[in-house]
This record gives sequence, structure tokens and C-alpha cells, in this order.
Amino acid sequence: MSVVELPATADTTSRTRKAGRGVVWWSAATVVVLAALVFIPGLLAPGDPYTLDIGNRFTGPQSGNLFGTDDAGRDILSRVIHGARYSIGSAVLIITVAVVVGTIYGSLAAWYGGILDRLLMRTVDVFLAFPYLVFAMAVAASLGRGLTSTIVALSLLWWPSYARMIRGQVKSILNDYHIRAATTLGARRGQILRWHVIPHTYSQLLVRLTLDIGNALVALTGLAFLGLGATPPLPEWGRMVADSKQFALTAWWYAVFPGAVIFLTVLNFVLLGEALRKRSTS
Amino acid sequence: MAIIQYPPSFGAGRLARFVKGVVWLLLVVLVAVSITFALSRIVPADPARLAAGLEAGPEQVERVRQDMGLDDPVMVQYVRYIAGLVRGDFGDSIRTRGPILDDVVEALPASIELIVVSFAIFASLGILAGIIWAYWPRGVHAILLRAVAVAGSAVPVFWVGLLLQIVLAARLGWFPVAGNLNHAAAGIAEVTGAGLLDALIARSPPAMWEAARVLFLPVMTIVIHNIALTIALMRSSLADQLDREYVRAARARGLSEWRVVMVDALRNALNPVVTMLGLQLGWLLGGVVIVEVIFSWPGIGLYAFSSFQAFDYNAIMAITVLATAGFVLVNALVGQIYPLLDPRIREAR
Amino acid sequence: MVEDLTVTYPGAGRPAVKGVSLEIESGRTLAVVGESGSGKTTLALALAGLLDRRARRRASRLEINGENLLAARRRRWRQLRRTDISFIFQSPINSWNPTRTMIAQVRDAMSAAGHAGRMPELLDLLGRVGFEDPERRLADLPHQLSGGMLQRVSIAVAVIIEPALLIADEPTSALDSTVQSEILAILAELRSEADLAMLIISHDLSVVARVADDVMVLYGGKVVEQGAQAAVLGSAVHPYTRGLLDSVPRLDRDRKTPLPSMEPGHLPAAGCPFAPRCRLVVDDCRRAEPELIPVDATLAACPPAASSTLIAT
Repeated sequence: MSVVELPATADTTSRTRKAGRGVVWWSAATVVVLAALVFIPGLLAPGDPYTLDIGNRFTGPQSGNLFGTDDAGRDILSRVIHGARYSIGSAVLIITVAVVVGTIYGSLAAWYGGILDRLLMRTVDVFLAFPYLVFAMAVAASLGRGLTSTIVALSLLWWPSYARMIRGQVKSILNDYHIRAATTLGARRGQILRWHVIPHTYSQLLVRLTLDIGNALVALTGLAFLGLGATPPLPEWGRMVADSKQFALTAWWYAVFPGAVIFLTVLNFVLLGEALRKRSTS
Repeated sequence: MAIIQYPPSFGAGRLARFVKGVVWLLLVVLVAVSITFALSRIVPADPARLAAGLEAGPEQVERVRQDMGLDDPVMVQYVRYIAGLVRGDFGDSIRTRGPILDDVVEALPASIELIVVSFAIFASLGILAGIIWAYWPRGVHAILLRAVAVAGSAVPVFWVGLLLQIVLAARLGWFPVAGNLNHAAAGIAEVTGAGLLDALIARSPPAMWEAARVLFLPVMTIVIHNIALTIALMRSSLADQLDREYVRAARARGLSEWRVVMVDALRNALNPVVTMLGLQLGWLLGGVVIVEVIFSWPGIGLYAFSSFQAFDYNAIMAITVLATAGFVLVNALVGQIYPLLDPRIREAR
Repeated sequence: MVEDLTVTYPGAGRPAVKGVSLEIESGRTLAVVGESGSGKTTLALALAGLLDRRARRRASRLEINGENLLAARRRRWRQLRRTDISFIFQSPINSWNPTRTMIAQVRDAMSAAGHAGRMPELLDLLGRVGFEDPERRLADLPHQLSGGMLQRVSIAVAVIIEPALLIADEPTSALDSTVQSEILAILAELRSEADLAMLIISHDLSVVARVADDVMVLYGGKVVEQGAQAAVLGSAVHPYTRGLLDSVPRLDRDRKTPLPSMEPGHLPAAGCPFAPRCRLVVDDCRRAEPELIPVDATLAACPPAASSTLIAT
């Protein structure tokens, strides 16, 4: 019988899809703004992030200092804007390292298979069995204070999850029909990888990246809050919240604004990631 | 981070599985120790210098170095350290100058209390909220729960803690700003070190109330962040099960909604949630550091923080070992729950 | 029986089922035929009160055993499913919770229906329908049993409550062809014993020919033709039904032109839903939705076909 498949309800989610598109545009615009903060903070900040003004310390939010001033009289808004470079920049760097290392590692494992695959993936299993925050703290503490050691510590912990994901994707795609078809047609292995395998992993990877930049930002600022990150006077966001802790009961704005900026930035990446995921699955 | 499958298992037999688990645990801990050990040897700070004190002269520092065995080759130090670990000796703390194990044992009850109470609350509330959201996906509560799930997962723990401290403790004065229960002031004996439990043993309602009050803010901080994941995962997992044909078939056989949802669907939906809860319990070992620092909660996290601050590398390594072992163990225990939820796994083994 | 039933899913342009009326007397079997997406499953679910909560249902009459169910609440429907309506689903493996043993689920169903004490009877019935060694095999999990075995359990559980209405949604299409005919035989036998009304849904005309007394053909949620089995299968009027019949492979003659296939996509917003694929299409078809009119021995919703038949006779 020639029965034709007709989807029962073809166009069910037009409204939710439209809402999702709105979120994507909004979040993407915010990402552009964040990028501007990272690259040209000097043009955007109202003042200098390092200028001390002891006579003007702990002033609450007002017209000259929208976010108030800190314990050294520095303008918190300017510091937050300049801090984007250190906080977001580091988060992006961590994820970039993790993706590059994880992609190479995972592809190698999937491509060669056999004993090498098992050996490589067992190593990944070991890394994934670490309690990551404790381990990051230990590594960062062992390497000494500073933004670099935090970035190294978190990169060291982040790549294995990408290695596992990429390996899984490459493996499943290698088993896919059109790869087999391409192989039968005589395409070289390198070409296959370049033109068929890698593009396929993009969409899932993009979702994951977006969410993970937020995650890395949370981890990074968390370590900085514990003193395991940027050193003064760098206006890194987590560090600012850490510095604010001892004044939290008197100067609320000092803790509230930098923390709120971290929260909203992470929230933005979460929403963008979710919206992208919805789009890639629908 | 990615879902961890513990342990990567094959083969059969209870004993074989147990042995495999122990070997896996040792392997993971060994790698963790080795990495931290290797890194601690490139520490810029000189441990001997720290141990000898600020006013010590070069000769004294050198003597301390010899006493601590820091002038031996690295491999010798490494083997010596591992040998110590095997005997259960974590070495002495440079900061407190006592055996690290004693420090840890003293700090542990307060942390366990904090973790257990928080975990019980966010796991139970999160599962409940996730069920409600999955079963009634529309309405005000759904919008609210979605907001909690999204915001909670994005909010930095340390910031929530500070906000709660500023508003509920400092401004409103409803809760103490920081610290643990003072056993003497509450008039109860210190038996376990965990305030709530000690008050329960002493059968003292006022002390229990006080213990609950000091616990409230740290627990809230942990719950707000962790419940988000539980709610979201419970919802999506149960919603997925409720869409399955067997649910409709069970309804068609006249089963009550309670049985269909709470017996048939929920049981299947719990599996990924249990996995995630196990991981979260492990992550709490790390997350609790931040919360303990904010609220000066005298647990293992605060101890770890002080050790990081002082570059007390013996203590740092001890904490890494213990946390790693704890994390692997928790995940192993979680692995024991799956077969109860899904008999297909039991049969495959 | 149901009159003028329309079911709409939110966000969908067209109703999934539109203006369907049917009546099944006890002791008779009505087969509903149509391709995927024709609304036949939605129709069946509506009759058992099992529609998705989001679905909107409208009807001018909806009765079972003479009881008006238009305003029935979910509790009442559940009660009916325990005593008067049974449902057999298409996929046997998906009809059972994969993580619970068959015996636990069968017990659940039996005690829900208030027949907890009739387990021995059910085991007997299972034996009769060819489920061997029921005490032992029911302790298994669903995936340890074959599709045919699982469907036998579904049928036994459905029939033992002696329902007034038995709905079977493609009960055999997920099974091997030899098992298919066994299951059909069981269904037919139990149906004739129990004197119940049966609604069987299928896209397979050979199934329809074996079990149905009456046939209803759905296309795009609308009834396009209905009548007695022999009439519909023997002298179909509607071009869609004819297309279905012609596309059945037969040994005794060459295959005629098959139905023009169609890209999966939208049905026309107005007019006859079949118009885009129809050989007899005229302009009127695209304007107004045709009503069912008596032609020969059947009712068909196709004025051009009706007129050409009239001219021919």
C-alpha cells in the first residue's frame, strides 16, 4: 500500500518558537554589549577603575557613581566595566582551551578506536571523577595566587567533558550512513572529517559552549571569591565581591552590584543556551 | 559538567564488581594526589619558610626544611607521602602544627550537618516541585518554578549568601550573621559536634530552635542554588515519561492518576534525577567551602579555605584526597540505587 | 454512539477530527480506515476519554450504553474505563511500563477494575488465547516477552472486564504477519463470545475484510465514505477509497494506477481535504467541504463521484 505519512499537527509551536527567537535576539544583543565591555572598556566606563579617592570612600549610589564607591573610593561602575575583560575574558579562554584540547583528544579517541580509545577515555573518566571545585581550589592554591593559575586549574578540569562529548558525537557520526556512503565513494578520511564530521557537531557544541561560558564564569568568580584568582587591584568581578565581604554589612552596594552583574551575565548565557537548544531540536 | 557513569563496569559477579570499584577509587585518588603533589612542588611559596615563621633566620629555615624532609629528591618525598597515606597519616599541618587528621575530624561534623540538611531539603522540595510542574505545566506556579529553575542555576552562590546575610541577618536581624551553634550558651553537651543532632540528644527544644536558626542562612544559600537543577531535571524527566504510551495505556486500564503518575511514571523518571543528585552531593563537597567562608561555619570548608590562604600544602592535599574519595564513594552508592529503580539494569548485571 | 465529533489540538490549523458521527451496536464491529494523520487514533482516544488535556473536543452527542457523556468528568471516564470501555494499543511493547513486571501491572489493572479476585480467571483466559505458562511468564519484564505475547495480555486484560465497547487501535500492525492473523482470530472469537461493540482502527484493508461488519474511511479528519463492509470494499465510490483498494497488491490482476503520493505537509485550508490528490477534482471541491450523500450502497462525501455513478447507472 502506498500510505503517505502526514504529520498530524505540523505547525503546533509557532508561538513558542517566536518567543524563543525573541530571547535569542535579546541575548545575542547582550553578548555584543558584553563583548564591547571586554574589548573597549575605556570608551564605555565613566571613570578610571584604579584611581584612589580616599576622601570619597563608601559613597552609596549617586549621580557621579551609579554603583557607589568601594573602600578605596574607586568608582564601582568603572571597575565593573573594566572587570569584564578579566572575568568574561577568562571564562571564554577556559572554555576555548577546553574545547580545543577536548576536540583533538576526543576525535583521536573516536577515530582510532581500539586500545587507544579505551586508554584515552579511561583517563577522561578519572578526571571526571574528581570533585571539580575542590580540585580546582587545590590546583589553584598549589599554583599560587593569580588569575593565570585559576585559568590553568579550570581548563585542566574542563577539557575531559568536551573530550567525552566530542568522542561520542564523532563516533555516532562515523557510523552514520552518509559517512559510509562517502567512504564508499572514495573520499579520503581527512576530507570526510573536514566536510562531514566536524560540521555536524557544531550545533550541539554551540549550545554547550554558551551554557559553559556561564558555568566557567560562576566557577571562576567563585574561586576568586575565595581569594584564589585575580589579585588586587585588578577589578575582576568575583574578587570585587570577595573584597566587599568585610564591608557587606555597611556598604551593601559594594557587594550587590558586582554580584548582580555576574548573575545577569550568567543568566544571559543560560537563556541564550536554552533558546539555542530549543531551536536546534525543533 | 558531564554526567559521570560510575564505574565503567563490565563483567559479572558481586565480588568482582566490588573489587573493581575499590581499584577504581584508589586509582582516582592516586591520580588526584599525584597531580596535586606535582603542582605543590612548583609552588612559589616556600613551605619551610612558612613553617619556620617570619622572624626565622636562614639557618632555622634550613633546619626546618631538613626536618620536614623537603631537601630530599621529589620522588622520595612522593613515595614517602603515599606511604604515609596508606598508613592513614596525612602529615602535620604547617598552619595549626597538629596532625591534619585531627583537624579534619574536628571540622567534619559541622560540614556534614550542613550538607545533609541542605541536601535533604533541596532534594525533597526539588523533586516535589518538579512533579507538580510536570503534571500541571501551565499556570502561575509553572512560571514561578521556571523562574526559580533558571535564576537559581545562574546565580553565584557567594552572592546569594552575601545578600541573605545583608538582608535577613544584618538588616532584619532574623538570623545570626555568622557562626555555628554555641553549645555552652545553648546549655547542651557537645556529643557529635553537629548542633541540631546534639540538641536532639539533649532533648532541648530551645537549643534545637537555636541550632535551626544558625543553620537557616547557610542552608538557604545552598538550597537556592542546587534546587534549580533538581526542579528542572525532575520536570523534564517526568514530563517525558508522562508522554509515553504506557502512561496512556495505564490510564486506559482504569488506573487512578495517583498510581499512573506516582508509581509508574515517577519511578522511571527518577533515574536521571538520582544520578544528578549524586553528582550534586559530590559537588557540595566543594560548594560548601564558599558557604562556610561566608557564614564562618566552622567546618571542613572553612578549614580548607584557611589552608589555601596559608599555602598549607599538606592540608590542601589531604582535603583533595578526602574530597575525591568522598565524591567517588557517593557516586558508587548512587550506582547502587539504579537497579532498584530499573530492574532491567539488575538483570543486565 | 457519537454525533458530529470535532477534536482540535492547540496550534493546529485544522481539527484533527471534524464532524464525525458513528454508532456501533453491541455485537458488531466497525473498522475505521485511513492513513497516518487521518485522525483515526484521535477519534478512538476521544471515545475512551483519553484525549490529551490540551485537546478541545466538541460534539452534539456522545453516549455509551445510553449514558450521555458530553459533560462527563475525568473521574467518570476513569470509572467507565474500568467497567465499560477497553482499549488495545498499537504497540504492545509501549503499552506496558518497561521497568515493572507484567504481573504487577496486570494486578494493578485488575484491582483498578475491581476484579482483583479474578486473577485465576485471567490466567485461564491467557492460556486460552495462547499465552503459555502464564504464572511463570508474567513474572517477566515487558521486554522479555514477544510482541505477540504482550498483545495477548493486553487483549485478555481488556476483555476480562466484559466491556460494552472494545477499541483496538491498529492492534496488529506492529506484529509479524503470522502473529497478526493469530491475534485477529483471537479478537474475532472473543468479540463474538462477549457480544460487545468493537471499534477497530486499521490502515490494512485485509484486516478490515477479516473482522469488520461496517467500515468508515477517514481522510484529513473527515469521513469520506462509510457503509457496510462488503459495500465499501466491493463497490467503493469515493476516489480515495478506490485508490486505497487499487493499491492493494493482488495476484489476480495488474496493479492499477496507485494513489498519487503527497509530500507530508498541509491539508488544504478549505474544501475537500482530498482535493490535491484527487483524479476527479473539480473547482467546487476546493470551495466547499462535501457532505456525505448516499450513493449506491454506501455514503460518500464526493459529489463528482456520486454524479458520475448516477449517470453510469
